[in-house]
Amino acid sequence: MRKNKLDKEIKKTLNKETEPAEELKQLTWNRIENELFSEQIVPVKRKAWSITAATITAIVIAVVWIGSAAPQGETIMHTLRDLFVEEKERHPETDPEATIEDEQEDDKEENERDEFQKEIEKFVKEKEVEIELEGIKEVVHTELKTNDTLRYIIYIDTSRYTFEKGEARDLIVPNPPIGEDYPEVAMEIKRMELTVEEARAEIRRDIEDENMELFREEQVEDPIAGYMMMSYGEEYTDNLGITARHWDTPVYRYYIAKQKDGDVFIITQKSFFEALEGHSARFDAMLESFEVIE
Amino acid sequence: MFDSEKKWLKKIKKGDQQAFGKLYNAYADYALRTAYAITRNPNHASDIVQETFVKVYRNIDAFKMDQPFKPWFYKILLNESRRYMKKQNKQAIAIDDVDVLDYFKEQATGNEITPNEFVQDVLSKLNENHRTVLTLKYMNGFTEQEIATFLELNVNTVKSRLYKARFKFKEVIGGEYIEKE
Repeated sequence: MRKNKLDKEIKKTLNKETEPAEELKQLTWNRIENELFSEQIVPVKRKAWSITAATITAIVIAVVWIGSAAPQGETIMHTLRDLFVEEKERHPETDPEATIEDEQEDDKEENERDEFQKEIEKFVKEKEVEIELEGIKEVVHTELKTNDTLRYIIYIDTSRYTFEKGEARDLIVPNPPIGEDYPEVAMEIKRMELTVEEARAEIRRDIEDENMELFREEQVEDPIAGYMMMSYGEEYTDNLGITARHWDTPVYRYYIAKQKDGDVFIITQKSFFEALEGHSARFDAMLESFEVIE
Repeated sequence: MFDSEKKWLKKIKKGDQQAFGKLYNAYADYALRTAYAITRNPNHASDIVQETFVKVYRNIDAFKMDQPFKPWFYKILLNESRRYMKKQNKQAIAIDDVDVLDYFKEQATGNEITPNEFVQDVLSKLNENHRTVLTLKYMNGFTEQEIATFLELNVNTVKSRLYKARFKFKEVIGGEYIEKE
């Protein structure tokens, strides 16, 4: 089958067979609203089945999803209007104060970007850096990379890595890419409105989600000043029947750097045991040039 | 980010519940589709979407207005999907699930495979990683770069997963489904 035809077929099949009905959206909304606003909103009359026991709910959802017999209910926006009529009166769409605030925020953002551009002109575009890998010194050529949204600069070894600039976070990945048979290797840089404690909690959840184990956490000064957390992948049994962490076991290293404005930078280095002295060391070397532009 | 979406988010940061309802209405449909395609269970999909929106509301202060909302939202949705799947895998089949499965069995007519069961069959032949990238690309229309951003993966890893997932899908629909049509 040709690629385009296959793509269309996958899209058509998935879209058709996963279409949720309005009732399912309403059911889900009722539960969200109940969890978040149950003490704040004036109760409204609901359909009996929307608040029945979990078993019945599950069956109703199944009926709705496969579209066999469920009737169309009220649209969700209609219900939302009923639910939030008081809220709407307090927050009209054409709130003049909100419009002024929006314009002020836009001006502020524009000024901050201009200031950032002026600041980064002080940095050289390229430079040679001496790094030490496994006791051997080498000189690498690095290029300046910046992000005016996250407001930082870093020098990247562009002979070995690509800087992928994103809107929410940036990624530094090997160039050329490493093969599919190897675990992921990348360094991610993102800025978040979190405290260090919240960031640590967030990272712990990530580690759990990735089925990894927190191995070490401590305050560090190098390659950047901040809090470091390191996790390993789970043990597994290889072809020889040895259950342990092996050469390809993932290793993630997180750095949390607190900023003056209360934000934190979270730098995540993804690598694996065999690459610790290679990619991980190079990531750290590049990270030493990391600088926040306030 | 659309202007209307930006306004909703600013209002939600100030506690505006009506704006939150609008945001839900804009995102719920594809969030449910995505969670369902990943979990293959409508009840689980509803739970995941519920938890996702609760987290969005409670953590909206952590969202920065100069960044796009969609990746932030889908990151939470996908994390919740993974967390939920992991939790489900550790548990025995719950009573609710048995009821749903029984219901599907009752609805089936003869030995003919219904479209819904057919897709579940296709998806069950893919692992969770492949199901996820397939769903994000074909149901949500995200680019490979966007998917890599959501999942914090190298774009080449996403391409590889998509290739394998497409190949698996083709094996099934090419051999059975297309021929029936």
